[in-house]
Amino acid sequence: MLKFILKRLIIIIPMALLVVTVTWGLIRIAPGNFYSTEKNLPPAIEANIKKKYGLDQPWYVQYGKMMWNILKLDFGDSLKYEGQSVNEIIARHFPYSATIGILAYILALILGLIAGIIAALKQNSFFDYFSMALAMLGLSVPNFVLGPILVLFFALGLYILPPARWGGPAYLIMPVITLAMVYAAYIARLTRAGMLEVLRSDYIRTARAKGLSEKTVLLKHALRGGIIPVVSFTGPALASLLAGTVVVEKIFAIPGLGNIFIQSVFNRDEPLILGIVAFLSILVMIFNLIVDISYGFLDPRIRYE
Amino acid sequence: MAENKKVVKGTSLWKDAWKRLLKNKLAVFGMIVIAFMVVAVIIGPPIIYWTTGFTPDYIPSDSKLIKSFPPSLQHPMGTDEAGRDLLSRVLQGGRISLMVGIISTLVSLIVGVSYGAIAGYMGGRIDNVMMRIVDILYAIPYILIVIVLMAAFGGENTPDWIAAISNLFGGGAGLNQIFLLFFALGLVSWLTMARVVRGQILSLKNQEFVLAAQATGVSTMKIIFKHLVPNALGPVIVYATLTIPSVMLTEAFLSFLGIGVQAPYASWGSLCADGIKNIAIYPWQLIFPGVTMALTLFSLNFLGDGIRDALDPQTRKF
Repeated sequence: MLKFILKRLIIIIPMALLVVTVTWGLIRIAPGNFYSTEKNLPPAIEANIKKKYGLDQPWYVQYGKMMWNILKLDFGDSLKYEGQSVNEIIARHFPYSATIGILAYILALILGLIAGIIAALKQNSFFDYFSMALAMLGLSVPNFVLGPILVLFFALGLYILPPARWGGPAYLIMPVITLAMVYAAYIARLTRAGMLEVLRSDYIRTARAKGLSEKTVLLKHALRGGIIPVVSFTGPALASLLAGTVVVEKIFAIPGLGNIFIQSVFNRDEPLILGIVAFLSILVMIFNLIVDISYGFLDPRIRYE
Repeated sequence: MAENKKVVKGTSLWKDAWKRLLKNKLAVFGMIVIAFMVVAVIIGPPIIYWTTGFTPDYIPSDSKLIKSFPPSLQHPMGTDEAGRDLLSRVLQGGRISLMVGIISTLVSLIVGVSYGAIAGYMGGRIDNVMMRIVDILYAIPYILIVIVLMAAFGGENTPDWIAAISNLFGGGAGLNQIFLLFFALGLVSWLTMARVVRGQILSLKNQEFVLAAQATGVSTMKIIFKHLVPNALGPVIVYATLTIPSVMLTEAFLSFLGIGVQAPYASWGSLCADGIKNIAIYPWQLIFPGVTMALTLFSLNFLGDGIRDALDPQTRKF
């Protein structure tokens, strides 16, 4: 087990470096640059800028220097936000994204698990059809439609919630709900399907035959197996939640990392793009590792090599 | 014998699946809505033009009319702030949004199926390298890839074949850019398809019919694409039907962020993005395109679910 974790942890480093390399290549393929928003920059000025940022050297020298710095966890300074290091920018803006991302996932888990389990237990009942139709609606309403409609209703209609920006807990309510709905819908569907499959399996029949109470059968035996699909979904979902809150950040004017990332791509701010991509890809890989480890606790039949 | 043949006339897998699909009320509902939507976006704009004279980009010459009017008999969905008829804009945007769904899914299908099938059949080191590449691409934000593809192949660098396809629909620089977006979206959404197909091929490639093909000297590419891929078609179709709403949503996100479809063209995503700016004063500008899009995605998801259940009777008991 420990060997498995160590092996996976070590693989993360070359994988992250490869991701950075491919991203770097992509940025370099794209025409345009960070320093000239207008065309016809005098050649002398352009040469000076290139010299200052080391762009006059051959690409392999630039690449080598960049990789060496990244290995030392130094992504350098942002090109657009002068005098600020990439590490500082990420440290400053990530907490906003993380707060709404984690809260949204917790809300999605609560809603999705409850709806999914009840729907599975009362299969083909009114509640089953109703909650699954609701889940489908959650999957189909884009969050950039849901968010503004919530704003229209609660902030501009009823005046009970602040419409945007960052402040006390009241400011969190609408962004978290907007973000959570799609994930709640996914989790409800996954839980229902997983529970239905498990409830038909032999070990549940055995547990019932042993005379265990229905509560023990459900909570101790069925739930553990039934939520495995939800656990597999959690890795990528958490990662995309922490990073992919762009739309919600834009609607509610939250200074999170997603917004910064989109800006950095528009600005061709190479160090910042690479820093955020590296940070997020490592985060994704760590989440996936945690998910893989947790399978063993949920289903004793799963073993690690 | 002849009599016997008549009695046991078997139904094919596809006929069987079609029958099961028709029994699923929600899937049939989805099918009807989508069929209606397709017909509406095709014949809607010309009908509006003939009956009222409005085109999607018609800006009235009378300056008093250049403002956003609420829904009325003349403009069932109201107008946007330039006085353009919102109904014909939503229908026009629907053409682009539905085309994204079809073209991007086709691209992702072609790339994903070939990639996954080759990786799965070759196995060993080739498979390992190919699937690690997929892992790496998963970790790179697709927005970055789309922006780079759009920047690198946009404007003068548009490949001729993309311009040729866009010429079929009228052509022009704006439309070229939109078709480029379709292909870029397809090129970022094949990863899961490749994984699904690879899994299928892995479970098929050790069966006797493959061995027989190998023994009779069929070439590797022919084995992959003529013998293996057709047998893996079920899951591929299921996943493709679920890819359609997901690429439509991705296009809408990109247009919402200002990367996707640009004015004067519109898609449901870009119409929503415009509507959000004025939500407090002109809520209909968001609500009509938003609800139209949500209804279409809702139907596509139900249809996708129905097709999955119909093709895979195992899951039907749930």
